[in-house]
Amino acid sequence: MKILIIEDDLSFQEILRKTLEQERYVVEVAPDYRTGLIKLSDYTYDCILLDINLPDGNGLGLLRELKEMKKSGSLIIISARDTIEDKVEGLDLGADDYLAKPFHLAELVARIKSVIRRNNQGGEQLVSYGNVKANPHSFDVWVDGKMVELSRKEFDFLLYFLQRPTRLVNKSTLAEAIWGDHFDDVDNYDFVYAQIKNLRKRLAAWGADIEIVAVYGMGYKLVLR
Amino acid sequence: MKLTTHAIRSLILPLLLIFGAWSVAFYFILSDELIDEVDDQLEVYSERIMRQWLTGEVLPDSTDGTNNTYYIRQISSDELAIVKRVEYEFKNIYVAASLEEEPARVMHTVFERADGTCWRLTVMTPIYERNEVISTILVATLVLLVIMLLVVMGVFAWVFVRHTRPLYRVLNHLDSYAIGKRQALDNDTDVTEFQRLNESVTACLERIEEVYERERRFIGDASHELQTPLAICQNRVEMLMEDETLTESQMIELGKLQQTLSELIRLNKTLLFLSKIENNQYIERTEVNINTTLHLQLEVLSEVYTSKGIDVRLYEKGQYTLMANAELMTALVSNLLRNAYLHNKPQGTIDVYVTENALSIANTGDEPSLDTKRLFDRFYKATHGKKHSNGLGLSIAKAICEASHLAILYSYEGDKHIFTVCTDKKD
Repeated sequence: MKILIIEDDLSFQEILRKTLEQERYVVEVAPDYRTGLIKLSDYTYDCILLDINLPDGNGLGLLRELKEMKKSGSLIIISARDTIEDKVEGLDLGADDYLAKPFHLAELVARIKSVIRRNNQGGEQLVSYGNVKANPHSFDVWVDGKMVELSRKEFDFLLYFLQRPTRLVNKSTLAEAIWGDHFDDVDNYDFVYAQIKNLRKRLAAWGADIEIVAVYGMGYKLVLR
Repeated sequence: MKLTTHAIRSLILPLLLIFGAWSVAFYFILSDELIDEVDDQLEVYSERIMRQWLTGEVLPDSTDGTNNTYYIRQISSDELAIVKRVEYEFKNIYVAASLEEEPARVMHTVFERADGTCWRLTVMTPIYERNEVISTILVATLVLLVIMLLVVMGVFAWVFVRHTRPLYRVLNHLDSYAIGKRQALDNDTDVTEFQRLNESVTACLERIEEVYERERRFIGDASHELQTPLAICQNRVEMLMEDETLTESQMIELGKLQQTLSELIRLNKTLLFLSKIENNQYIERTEVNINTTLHLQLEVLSEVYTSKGIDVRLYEKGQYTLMANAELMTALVSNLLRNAYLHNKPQGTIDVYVTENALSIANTGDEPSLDTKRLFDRFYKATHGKKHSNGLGLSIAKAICEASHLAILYSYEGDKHIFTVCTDKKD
């Protein structure tokens, strides 16, 4: 799996590269529009991370070029702009996803996996880890090939963890992901804990070989049992 | 006190003094003039009497219809020493024709006969009619004085009001001025001072607008520029936390760092959001039903704040539907509800009222009535040390209301903090 990162901030570029290399991707980088364009026309990538604000041009121009070349490969825009208009514009031009800075690395990894899966499996979009499989669109979950029942909120939790296996997920991040934005004033995350406890019980009851573990009271991690 | 009233008031006294002095002077000059005339007549009369008396002619009868009377008596040399040769005086005399005493002008003249004896002639003429004329003149003068005073005041007030009109237009313009909403000053005048005032006011407002605009842009730009460095910080900490060799205490410290960083990121995001609202970047408007938004937000928040044990009561008296930006309305409702949860006391209550054109959220709380002047200011915190509030929630609510032509009001009734959002009747 080859990924191209087009990002002018070198420190940020390094973080992205290291993270993705840890995930066993082959990573190439381009710091500006010109280099990005050369790499895009010479090679094919499974996924491209594109920053819109480049020193020598607008990243959306690169997106247009890419679409004209009719190359395969997914593209995720990473940008400091996060208005709906910006997102709509990017997605209209053919980007597969739009991530506004700042984002969590776990989020980025999950999104990359998701877009690559969408492109490769042609509609088949199951997310799986261990013997648990989930369909993000039909909300169905299978454990060991057997379909199981769970509530909508439980499904959201499970899916969120399945997309980020082995990564530490912060409690506040989790709350934000499930209940929506603006959690700047919550002083008690008991409601997150209640849901996790519930989900743990279910996973154990279904005989799943994965479990959610607490990490030093600050977050949770999905691991193989 | 209005400028016109002030000017008129300070005009009354000098005018009264000037007109008063003028009237008094007028009165005295006129009455002097009248008496002078009487004196002249008396002189002529007395000369005639003396001539007739000295030449032995027949003296006029006292009943000759003139009401003038006279008598002549001899005076001793002693007396001569004290009396003046010619002397005038006012005196009441008995007038036979009217059978009563009347005011009169009296003239005494001392003269000498050929035989060396001294005589004193006294002639008198009643001045009753002349006194009447004088009092009529006095009344007329006073009436004239009052009328003139009133007329001068009236004219002055009219001229003053007419000429200060541009001043009031400038004042009204300044009163209705709202920062960020520039309006041209419509104040046509050919008075140099007012033209200068217009120019100064316009230039001053222009500068305020410029500073405000720059500040607004600065906040937006600064928040925007902070995004990438913040992302780098956060992601580096995340990378570090993936390191399996870290000890538990290191991990916990990193966790705290990450927590603070996410607070910073949220704060920055909120500032950016605020700046976007103020820049009117949420232009798309659709029909939004506040009741629906409210139900959705209450569902989420009641789950999040379960631990506080707050009793939420919803009173829906109507469907509140308005044309607005859906994203902003969600943020507005969510901010107000979260505010009600956050500043509530444990086991408190939240009462939500919805009518066809208003939404009211009343919550119990430990704090007394809030400072209405600063309540909606950025970073205003009623109680210090509220750890999980960035003090921007109400600023956002206010900014959304302003951008959506809604009014937001705060009141404190019966130990409850009440925030009301309603359709602004001015629009």
